[in-house]
Amino acid sequence: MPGWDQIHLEAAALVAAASERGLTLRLVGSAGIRLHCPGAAAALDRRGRPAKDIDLVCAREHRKGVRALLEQRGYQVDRDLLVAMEGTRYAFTHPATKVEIDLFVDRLQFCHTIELRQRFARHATTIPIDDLLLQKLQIVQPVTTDLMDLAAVLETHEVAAGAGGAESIDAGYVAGLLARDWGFHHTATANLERLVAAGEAGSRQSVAALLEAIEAAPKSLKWRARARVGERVQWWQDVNERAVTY
Amino acid sequence: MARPADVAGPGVFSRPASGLIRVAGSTDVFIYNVGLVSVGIAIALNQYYGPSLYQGAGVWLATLLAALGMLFVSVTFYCYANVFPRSGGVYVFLSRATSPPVAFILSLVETVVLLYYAAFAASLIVTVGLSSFFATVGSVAANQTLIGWAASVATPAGTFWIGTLVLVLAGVLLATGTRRYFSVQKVLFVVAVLGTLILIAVLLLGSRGHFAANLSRLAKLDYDGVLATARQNGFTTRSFDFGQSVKFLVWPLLPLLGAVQSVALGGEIKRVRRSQLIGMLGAVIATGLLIALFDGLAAKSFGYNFQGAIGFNSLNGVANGSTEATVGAAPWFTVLAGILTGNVVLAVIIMATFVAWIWFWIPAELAYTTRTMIAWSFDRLAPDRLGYVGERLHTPVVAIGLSTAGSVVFMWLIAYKSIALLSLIEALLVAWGVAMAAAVVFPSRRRGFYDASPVRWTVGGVPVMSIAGGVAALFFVYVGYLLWNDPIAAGPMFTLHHLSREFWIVLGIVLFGVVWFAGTKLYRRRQGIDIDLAFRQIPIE
Repeated sequence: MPGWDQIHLEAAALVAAASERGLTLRLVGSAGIRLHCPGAAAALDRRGRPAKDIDLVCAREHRKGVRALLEQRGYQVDRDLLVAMEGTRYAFTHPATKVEIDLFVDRLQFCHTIELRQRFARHATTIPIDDLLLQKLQIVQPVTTDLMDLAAVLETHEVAAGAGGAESIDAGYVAGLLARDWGFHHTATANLERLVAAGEAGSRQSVAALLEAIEAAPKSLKWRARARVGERVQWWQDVNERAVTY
Repeated sequence: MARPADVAGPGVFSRPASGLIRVAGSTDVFIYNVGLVSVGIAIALNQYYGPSLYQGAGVWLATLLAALGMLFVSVTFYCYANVFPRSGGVYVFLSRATSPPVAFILSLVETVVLLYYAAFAASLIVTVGLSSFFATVGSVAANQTLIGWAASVATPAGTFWIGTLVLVLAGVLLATGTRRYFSVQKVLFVVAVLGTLILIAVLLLGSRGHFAANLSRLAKLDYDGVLATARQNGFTTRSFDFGQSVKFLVWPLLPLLGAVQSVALGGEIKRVRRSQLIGMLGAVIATGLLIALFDGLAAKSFGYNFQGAIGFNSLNGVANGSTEATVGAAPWFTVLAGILTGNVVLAVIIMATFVAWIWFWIPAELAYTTRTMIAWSFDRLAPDRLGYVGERLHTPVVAIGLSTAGSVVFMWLIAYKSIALLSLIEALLVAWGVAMAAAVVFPSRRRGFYDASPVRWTVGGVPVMSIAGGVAALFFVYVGYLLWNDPIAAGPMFTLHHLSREFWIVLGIVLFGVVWFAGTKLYRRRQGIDIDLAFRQIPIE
């Protein structure tokens, strides 16, 4: 299993190489959080966050170019996933370094969907910090590492009312998105409360500010209608293991 | 509180961080299977051949008996689908449950048979669907142009070109992606169900007297005259006959075999336990009941003996005794229903509904064979190219193209050579029957797979999979016996004195499969690849 140093270097190199070719490619996931700012990386190291893989997202029209770039760097595409996901998702493995890459296209689709197409321009290396946060907030049943990532983001980034600098979380954006989707709202607020319950003191202030903004945001008609149904109907998409499809 | 079905419990890395959102939900699976049953084809075949050639048969009873047998088949396939939640159909099950070469050869036979049936369905779209559509709507609307079209489309050239167009459309739909395919099927399914409800209402409200009057006005046929003509030409009526009903069950069984074919999509289905249960067992029960219901409705509106008589006249070319001469199409159920309405709009709805039902069969059949081909490719039994994903469409265009091309070849044989390879169904029953028989011993012979699965249910200490597999295997043996001894439905594939075309086709496929498997194994070994490893692989889930 490659370590953070190796993943860090490779992730940065990949985004840079893509940029040189005019390809829109951004880091997401825990590698994205680490590369977004040194503060978050330090916070993750303090928590002993183990290294994993590299998660990337690219623009739809750049799929072919990104795949070619990765294959030129020695990565092998997962054929099974290639067939099964029909261009919405790719996975690669480097046979020598064992580095694994998940490549998403335009959006992150897990328990809840986060549209990223209009967000690429906000940061040169990763998706914006708000979306890195949302990526962790959308998990219905987070595990230890998810809570570590979540805490690191909230501990090292202030919550601002609107779009501030690259290092502040836009509460308006997050709250506005959750005000349109009750299911996502339900999962996200549950995770923020879970973080408080876990005794993450460093992020308490940010969590409170975020919860307040989420609460205050005017909810859509669809949100209110869905809220009446509540937990009686499943509010998230099922996420399956990445097992062999064929 | 509901919990995510497939999200693992707590602990570092225990959550599928790189998890997938699968494409097909339970509704998609249900529609896929119901579509493959193709209620339209089932009703058309039942009501045309049942009362005419199996006089005395309770078409409804035959349908329910076929559905009962299929319930055991679906339970067995359901167990397999949970043990191996992967795409590739019977090939995946057989290759892991029996011997890989046997699995490859049988799945090769299965693939060719299913491609034939895709072409067969495309030919039915032309003959039962479009030709009847133009004839009936033309007659009701007194439009000679439409009646002329009915004859034109049913010519060999019309059948081939329209059938080919339908097959290519199905291939293109699959090539545009599975998500789009399921979306299109959902829309068409709603259309087909609405049309079917309208048809049920028409049959419920329509009287036999009204039908007889419309028959006389639109088809220039006298209701009693049709019966009398048939009797003069040798048609005899019988009261309800259980033996005939059992004999007839092979006809409704053919479409009902489609109700379990979501086994091909295992790896693309969300919440496999729930979706395959609803999809397979739900499809068998729902379509079995619906098709049986139509027999009752048809008997009420048209009369059982009348359907038999007009079908008999049609099949025997009796002049002035059927709709061919006046309406321009065989007396398929749809044609009779159109005449019953006597209304252009209703006739259009009914006929379009049946075309939609028949359509479902085609892309679904191609999807099945495509999955099998990709599974061969990934197991290194077929060239990597077969699993190639096009860079523009991001779908396995080579496998889809090959499936479509294969079915077009059969389309040509059906249209121009009038080849009806009916006994090919016997070969399919052998392939599936082996899977059923293998299920009997699967829990003990493949304990590693079975114990890791969620279907370790027992009745009196015996695994449900073994019981269902045993009953299903016996059912297939009996159905095979019926087909073998029924020259109307299929007939023997070979006898001591006669070797049928189907026999040579199947023999050719088997020999090709043996040579291909042996050659591929040798070739892969030279590449340093042991293909047997793939068959020992336990799925990750």
